[in-house]
Amino acid sequence: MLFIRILNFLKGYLIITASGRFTERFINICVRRNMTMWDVKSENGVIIAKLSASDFFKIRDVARITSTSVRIKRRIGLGFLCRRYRNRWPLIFAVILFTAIIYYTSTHVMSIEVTGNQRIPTDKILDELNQTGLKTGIKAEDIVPDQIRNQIMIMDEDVSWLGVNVRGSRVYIEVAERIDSESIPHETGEPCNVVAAKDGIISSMQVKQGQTMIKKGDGVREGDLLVSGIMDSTYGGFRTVHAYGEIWARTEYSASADYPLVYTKREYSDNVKTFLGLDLLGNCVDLFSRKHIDDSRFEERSTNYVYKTNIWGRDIEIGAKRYDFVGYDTVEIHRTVSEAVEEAETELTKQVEAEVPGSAKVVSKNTDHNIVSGETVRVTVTWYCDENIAKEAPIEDMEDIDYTDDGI
Amino acid sequence: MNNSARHNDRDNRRDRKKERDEDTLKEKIADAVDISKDTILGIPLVSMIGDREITIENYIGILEYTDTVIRIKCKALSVRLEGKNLELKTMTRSFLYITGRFKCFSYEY
Repeated sequence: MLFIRILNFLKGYLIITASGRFTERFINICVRRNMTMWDVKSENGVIIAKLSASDFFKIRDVARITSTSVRIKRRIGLGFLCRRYRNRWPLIFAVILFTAIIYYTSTHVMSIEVTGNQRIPTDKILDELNQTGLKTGIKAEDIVPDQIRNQIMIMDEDVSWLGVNVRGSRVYIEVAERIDSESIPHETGEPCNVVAAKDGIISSMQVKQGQTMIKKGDGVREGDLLVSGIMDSTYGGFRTVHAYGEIWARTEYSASADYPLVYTKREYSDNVKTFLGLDLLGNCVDLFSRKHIDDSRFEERSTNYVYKTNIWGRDIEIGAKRYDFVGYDTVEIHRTVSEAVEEAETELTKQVEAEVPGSAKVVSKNTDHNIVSGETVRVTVTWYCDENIAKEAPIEDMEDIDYTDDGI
Repeated sequence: MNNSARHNDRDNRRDRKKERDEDTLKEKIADAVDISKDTILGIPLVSMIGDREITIENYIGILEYTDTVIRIKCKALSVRLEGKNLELKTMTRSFLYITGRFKCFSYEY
């Protein structure tokens, strides 16, 4: 029905009212004369109907014969609409312009998106595409993807494959770069093994070359052979290769320390004694006597001051040293186990964090403590990580390898 | 009643009888060859969808049309349709499609 309504709108139709004594006869004659009438309603003896615009002039005779008064209630259709707005030329111009813009933007290339490139700059690919004729503004239907692909692959040696997908007014370029031979030195490298760089439990493996000597779940120690560079086959004998790959293992990093529940701490006072010393040609000479300073009550802090000068062409350093003796009292402090553990955890975590390499992925963290020797807590912080423990190592005793078919 | 009127009445009766006999004959033929009677007899083919829509084929003309009553002339009989908001949605020379809320549908001879 929608299609018919659209068609009627394009063709144009009228809503008419017919009133008189013989409206039924009017309808019958209209139908007999093949006039297209539809949606005929009767309201208080007046017929309201839709009539094709082209049939309106035929209706005049029928109205006269049947003594019916026909009035046009409304004109509907594209033709009437255009007629109504024919004097509003800016509107018509805007409609035409809008239609033209829509047509242009939907049939011409509006943007080119390049994906998949890592080494080759996008601008370079766009320049090359421009040279082949693919640029914004050209007609989308003129694009021949195979031709562009071949031209780019000939033009740019770094491109191993190029996909040109035209979606409406957008062009998507998928680039597959040629693998740089420098990035895969392993294939041509010296024969070697892969050994464990750390202790751990194997969690996953991705061996790219070599004979795998371990399996998932195996525990390995540092230096254990993981992937052998000596490959053996039943028919081809053996050969040495540059073994490489990624061996991921669960490793652990831990730090442990004893923390006494009772410990002493220095509380510094405002009693500070300052003295000076001289640094002459590497020898320090104090300008005060240490006899008057009690080491058990004062803490020594020193600061060096160096003055460089040139006398008669020779560089001479004159140094001064400032001594600050800060008075302190020793205080005994008691702490609970939880306080000690909390303090220890903070300190030990920093130590462990410093040990864990950046490439390792921390899986879990654990903190344990146990009380040893009465008033001392031993705290252990352990981090479990997943990391690649593969390390290349030369094949030892190459001379001992029997190269005959019977060997190994 | 004068003689001419008597003759006319007799002729009319004879015509109607002849027409009935022809219909009966056509009906018998339709039964014999097993084809649809509306094709041969010219009687209306009526299809109703509940009380909302009705299509009538083989009609001759509209006798009466208001928003509550429509009478349609067919070859051998008339159709009377009563209801409200009756609307002639589509009209061609042999086909009528009427919508509205129907209350009564009857044939008139």
